[in-house]
Amino acid sequence: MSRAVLSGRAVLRTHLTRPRIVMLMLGLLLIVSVLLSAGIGAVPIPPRAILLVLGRALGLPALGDHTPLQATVLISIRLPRVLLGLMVGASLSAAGAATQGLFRNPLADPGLIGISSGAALAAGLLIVLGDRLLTHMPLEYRAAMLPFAAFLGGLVTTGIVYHLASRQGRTHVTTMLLAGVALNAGIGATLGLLIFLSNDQSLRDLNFWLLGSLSGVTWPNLIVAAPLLTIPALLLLKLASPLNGLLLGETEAFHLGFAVERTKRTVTVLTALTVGAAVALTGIIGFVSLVVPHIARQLVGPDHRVMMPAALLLGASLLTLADLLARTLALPQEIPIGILTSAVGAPFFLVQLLRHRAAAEG
Amino acid sequence: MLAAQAIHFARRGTPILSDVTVTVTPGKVTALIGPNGAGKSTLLHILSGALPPDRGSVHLHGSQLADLPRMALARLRAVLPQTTSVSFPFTVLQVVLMGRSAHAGLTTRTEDRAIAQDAMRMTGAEALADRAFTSLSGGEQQRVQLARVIAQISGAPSSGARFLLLDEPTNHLDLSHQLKILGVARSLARGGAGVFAVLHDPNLAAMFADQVIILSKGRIVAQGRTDDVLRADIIEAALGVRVIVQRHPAFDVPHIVPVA
Repeated sequence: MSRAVLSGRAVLRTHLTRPRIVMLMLGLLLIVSVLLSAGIGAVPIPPRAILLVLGRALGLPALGDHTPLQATVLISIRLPRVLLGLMVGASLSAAGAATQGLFRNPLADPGLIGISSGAALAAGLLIVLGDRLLTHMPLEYRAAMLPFAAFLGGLVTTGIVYHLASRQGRTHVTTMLLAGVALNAGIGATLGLLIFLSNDQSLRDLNFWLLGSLSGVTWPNLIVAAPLLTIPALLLLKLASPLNGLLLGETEAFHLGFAVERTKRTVTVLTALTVGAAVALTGIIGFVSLVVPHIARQLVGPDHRVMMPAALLLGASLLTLADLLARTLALPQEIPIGILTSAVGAPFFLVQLLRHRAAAEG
Repeated sequence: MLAAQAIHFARRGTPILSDVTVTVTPGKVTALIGPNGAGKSTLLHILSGALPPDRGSVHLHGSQLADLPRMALARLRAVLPQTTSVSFPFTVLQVVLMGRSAHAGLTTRTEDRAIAQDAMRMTGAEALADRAFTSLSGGEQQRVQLARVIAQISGAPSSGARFLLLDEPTNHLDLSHQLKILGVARSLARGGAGVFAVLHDPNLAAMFADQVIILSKGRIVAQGRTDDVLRADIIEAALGVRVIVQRHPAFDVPHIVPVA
């Protein structure tokens, strides 16, 4: 067989078939994840009943039976939580993929530029100091302010990091990383101080927040946050080509015709928006934004045009499944989801790292 | 025509380039030689548009470089760096196809792939197409990058000659790869492209260039036809080594032999 035919087949294999098959599998995984996590719980709802209730809600004629309790549980408890899981998983994974491309480093993570820690600091200040200073304000007001404060905290911190690394219209990404590390350390110390200052109740609130949880989501919260979570994450997908170019180097990306500084700025802003919104609603959920792009890269290769959509789908599924485990493993208690994702993510990541090293050393 | 006119450039008050005027002509290879720190790479970056000069101007086909849209500029000129590191395991074909970024929407995927294949064939990289770029040797990587920059300036609707800028493209390469890379650059020039190459070795310049420019301490010491510029007195003054210039035993070009 001639070499041309061989390489033609290889082209077909690596560039058409495999990514398509993977995307199809990821789509199926997404559907299964949704049906599982919407169906499993104190009130079991079989997939058929889920479809019937959803059909009903969309105005389709009733084609079968389900109990009213199933309908109520699905619509007002499970569905918002599943949707939040999907959106947060997609958001963290797309942002993680974009951040790793921006820094040309597979170990980068949106947390590095201060989004999560800034949000945590703002939330911590509100929880701990609010308890002492805002005593005239009803508790539920303070609770309602929490996501907004966290969202703004993330934006402000990222803004500071970006500003520190920019001079004369150019942003130095290594400086950005280092400024992020420094700021994260400072914020870590401040959070430690806040923990030291807090009473039992605020300590409990703060901890719950730092470990992440999808519980307590409501439709109004979800509707406010949905555009902030999803629109920037989807816009990040449109930057796949310039992110590919950046992997060759900033000067090379400019030579290829890409707007390098604009790309860096846009990636930073979109990442801060979507991750800020995610952290504001759920607290800090570790390792998703770091690990999911890795898995996606192994499945479909490093091309951002394929890898980012794959990461988005995979992240949505994995976070939904992780939340299912978080709320069912230790019934009647809930495990904070951040503990789960880190417990699974850390060893997985380590194994990947060692395998990669073994492969590199032959 | 790619032309830099009266370029001045300083970094933190230290002049790097002073009153430099150069022209890159379509169909010719122009080599830039000079000692380390002469400002060669800076001049290349200014010609590429990546670095705006403090004073002076760069024109491409009569337009100021700064006025050309980035993507239009990228379809007309490509730059081959000394080395390119790629952080993630892209295949060779994917790397070469990145050269087509500026043509997105103007050419079809099939056309892009055909252009990439042609470029890889030119540089002898077609057998590497499915390999991971990171697994290649330095010489193979440079052949792939050359294919990428050739693909970048290939196959667009005609809007004047294309330009290829090479920044010390043969550093760290073995002799056979040096000749291969410069041979491809030369055949591109024969096809009508304007090639500008920063080189270290005056003998490579003698073999492959039509025009030679010598830069020393940020100023142009000599420029013109290869035979006129590569003379013992000029080289000794610019590079600070004593040389004997003979005729090359196989080609009708100067051959420079250093004598300590």
